[in-house]
Amino acid sequence: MNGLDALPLLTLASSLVPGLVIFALPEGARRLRAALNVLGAVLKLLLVGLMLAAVARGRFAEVRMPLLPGGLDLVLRADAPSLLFVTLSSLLWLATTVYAVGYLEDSPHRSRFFGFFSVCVTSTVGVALAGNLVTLLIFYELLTVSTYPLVVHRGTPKALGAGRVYLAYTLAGGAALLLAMVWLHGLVGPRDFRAGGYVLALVTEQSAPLRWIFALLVAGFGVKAALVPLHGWLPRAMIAPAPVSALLHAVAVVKAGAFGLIRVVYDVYGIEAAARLGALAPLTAVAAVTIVFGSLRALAQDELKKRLAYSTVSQISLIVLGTALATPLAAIGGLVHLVHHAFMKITLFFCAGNLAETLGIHYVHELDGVGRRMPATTAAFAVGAFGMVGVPPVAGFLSKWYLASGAEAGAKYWVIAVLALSSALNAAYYLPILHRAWFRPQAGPWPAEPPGTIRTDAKMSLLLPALATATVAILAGLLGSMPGSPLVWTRAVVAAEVGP
Amino acid sequence: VSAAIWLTPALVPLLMLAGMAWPAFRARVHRAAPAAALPALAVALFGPAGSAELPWLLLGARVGLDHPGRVLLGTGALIWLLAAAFAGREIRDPSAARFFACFLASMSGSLGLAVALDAGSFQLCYALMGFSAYGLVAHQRTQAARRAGRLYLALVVIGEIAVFVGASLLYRAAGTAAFPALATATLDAAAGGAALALLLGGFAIKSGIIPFHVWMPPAYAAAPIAGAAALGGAMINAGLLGWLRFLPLGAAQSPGLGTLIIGLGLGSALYGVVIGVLQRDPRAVLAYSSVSQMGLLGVGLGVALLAPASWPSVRTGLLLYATHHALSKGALLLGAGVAPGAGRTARRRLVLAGLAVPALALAGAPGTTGATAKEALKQAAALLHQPLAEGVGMLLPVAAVGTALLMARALLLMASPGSGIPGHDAQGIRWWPFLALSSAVTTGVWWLPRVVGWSDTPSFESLLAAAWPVAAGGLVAATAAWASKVGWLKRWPEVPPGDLWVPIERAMAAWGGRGVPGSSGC
Repeated sequence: MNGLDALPLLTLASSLVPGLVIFALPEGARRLRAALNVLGAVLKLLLVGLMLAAVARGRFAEVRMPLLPGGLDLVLRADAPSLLFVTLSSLLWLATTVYAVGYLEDSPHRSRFFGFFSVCVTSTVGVALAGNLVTLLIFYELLTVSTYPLVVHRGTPKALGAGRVYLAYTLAGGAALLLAMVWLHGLVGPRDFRAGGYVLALVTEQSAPLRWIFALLVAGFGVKAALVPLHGWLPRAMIAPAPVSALLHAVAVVKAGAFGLIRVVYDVYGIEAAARLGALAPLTAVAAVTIVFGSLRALAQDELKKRLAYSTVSQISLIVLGTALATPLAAIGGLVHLVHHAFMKITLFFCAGNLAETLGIHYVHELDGVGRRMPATTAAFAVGAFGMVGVPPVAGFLSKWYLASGAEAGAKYWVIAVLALSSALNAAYYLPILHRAWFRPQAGPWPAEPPGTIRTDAKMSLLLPALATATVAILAGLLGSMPGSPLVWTRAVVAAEVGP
Repeated sequence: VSAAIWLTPALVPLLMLAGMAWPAFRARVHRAAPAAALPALAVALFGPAGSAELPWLLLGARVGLDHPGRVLLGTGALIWLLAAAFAGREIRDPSAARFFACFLASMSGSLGLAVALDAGSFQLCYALMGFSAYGLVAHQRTQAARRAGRLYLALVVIGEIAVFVGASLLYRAAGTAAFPALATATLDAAAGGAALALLLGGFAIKSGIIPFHVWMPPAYAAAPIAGAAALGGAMINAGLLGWLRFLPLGAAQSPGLGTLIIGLGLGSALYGVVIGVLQRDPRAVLAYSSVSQMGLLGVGLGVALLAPASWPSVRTGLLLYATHHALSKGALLLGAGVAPGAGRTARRRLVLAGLAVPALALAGAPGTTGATAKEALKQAAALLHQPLAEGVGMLLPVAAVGTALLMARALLLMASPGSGIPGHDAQGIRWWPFLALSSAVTTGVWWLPRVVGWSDTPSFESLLAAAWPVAAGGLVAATAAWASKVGWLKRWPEVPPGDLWVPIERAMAAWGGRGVPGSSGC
């Protein structure tokens, strides 16, 4: 193993080791814990940078270790799609760490929290770097296990309830994945992910099992990706603290589900096989239903974080939709939305957390006049909100543009109608929030404003991450065609996976 | 370097907006705002022609200055400048900072549109302008402003989506987002027809062609005067600019859509007049006049879609018409804010004279920009085949009579003491922006055709043809005024601004209100 091939392992270690150390730290070791967290996050970014440089030279770091007899290996491989996801979650991990340190300043069980936090990020990076289905599955399950303590962190009955629901959904999804994996292994033996997939030869003989396996895989990954009707856990989990929501919605969990689906369609089945099995049309339909359903539910929520949660349900399916449409333009739109949505949604959850922390605001109807009290937070929120609607220059515009153009390329005009409806619904549930914040006078005292506060906005450790991610969300759109932007990167990935 | 020059009109207002983060500047922004439009004026006058690629921006962008862009940039800059100067005294309430923030943002978008030569940057500017202008419409916290804001925002969203979908249908076939390749893709994209219809309709919302006009009268009437002038003088031309950029005019022949838009345009021209005279707020009268005038632009567009060969002359006519309308409408809207404070002195006579010129211009009286613009449009319509040409030729004078009537109504409302504008305090208001714009209209008959590129000395017949509708309209108005004075006309019937929307709104309210928590009031 040369130095390059050690990089994936080191990347995992850069969050796992600090996490394990943090478990052992006493509650009071605030500075040390924060330093370890930030050090790990920065180190991870450096390692990712090295892997990126290698990929730019056409070298892919790869680690292979025997796992089970029969050639079942644990494979970590830094290819272009995995690095897209790794870079994303590493960047957002840094932002979320800074935010979480500020957010949880005086709350109990911080060592436990940050320990699991680090394990959670390690698993996400593992999901991203996994080179075959079994490796992906192992890290995917580890992600489930390590997020549960974060969801129930507050320990209230409501949090514990949400945690139970989360476990029920995700463990069932994991079981479906395991079944699918074993079945597929029986059909084709041990295989690594490869562009174009590895089941094409079996499509004619084994079409029925392959369809079932595809359905199981979609169901398994669909739980975390919150596809309707498997989405029920996500809105309940918003009971968790804001940094955990950021983790669930942007950095790790739902993105891992969507990423798993992308792997299944592109690198296990391949577009040609999936299309010949007739598997893509139902997936498109499920995604479309989820997009509309999530938006309609979001419209009906008064609780801010619940509205954001249903918005995630809807938006993640844009990623699935682009993948299922499978035209190159749509594939670009779907994959790039994985990145774009993450930056926009994490901004929104940071802002929701700021509102809750600073003024005790949890409901949309409490937002009247907040734009004057917390101008920077509201401005960052507006960036995320307009991005979700698809308004340029925020990055969401580019996602929707490619999705719509890709639907046209596949002559799926009804999908374009769904996208238009989604934009209209997003406007209907995001713009009233901005109206309240900026155009209504303050209705009364804030629900829980600490007495004697003179600062005009949230404290810096909460505000800066939100402003930083909002800035990235704008730059990713405004400089969308600049080399190194998510869009340009995604174009290259899709050119390799789907074709020009 | 050229690209930097072309971007300054949009960037300077944005920089000023960013400067508002600094409290000391925020307190003085009402004085600085007019300066934000100066670079645009300079670029329109002296900027180099051409275009440049910005391959890193959005979808890969192109910016530049062509003839229509230059004309509309200059007109827009002039109106933004004067509206900003007017706003400096008008907007002094505690939310003034918010107003100026929205004002500068929509100025940036509106001026940027003129130099945006690809779908990405165009939609960026279009969205910036459209969404920020909500802050102008909904600034005053009255019931009417909330309603107008809601309606405005709903139609902005619908319009943006229509344009977005229409443009994205063309992207694959064009292989680029840049104009004119994207526009010509309507000719061979699989869904080119649908794209054409969506783009036509999406921008028709901004222009206020029926039935997409319902937002316009409530918005003009609810916004502060400066906001209304910006809407009615500068932002309204974004619709025309959108058509010019996104549609393959001169290349595409689309008899169906062409006939439809001619029909809707003529419908707007007449409908705007009929509903307009039944208004009580002078700003609403002026808004319906915009509906009517933009209808005539729609007719010109339809002519180009029916007879592509006519496009070069139609384009000149449309530009002439749009700039003439923008300047006159801007002057009248500013005048509506000045008139109530004019008292009974020589100043009042000056104001009335200043109002009369743009009013006469819109009515198309001989010796005004309006007569020239109407003549240009008439010549374009004559290129149509029969019987359409004859029909349009017959209806144009009818619309002119109506506009004269409408202008008389607006002037009477503005001049009559006591029927001023609710919520508007004309004391201490700034006069010179209005007088400057009015002078621009007066002298426009000399400079505007040169700027736009129209050279045609009016014949005696055309002068006569321009004169009689004005005289007829004036006569009808005078009769009505006399009848109302002597008591024959007891009650002037009224239609609420927003006409067709009102019953829909009531039905929606009756159907169960707005069942969306947290969204009420937006």
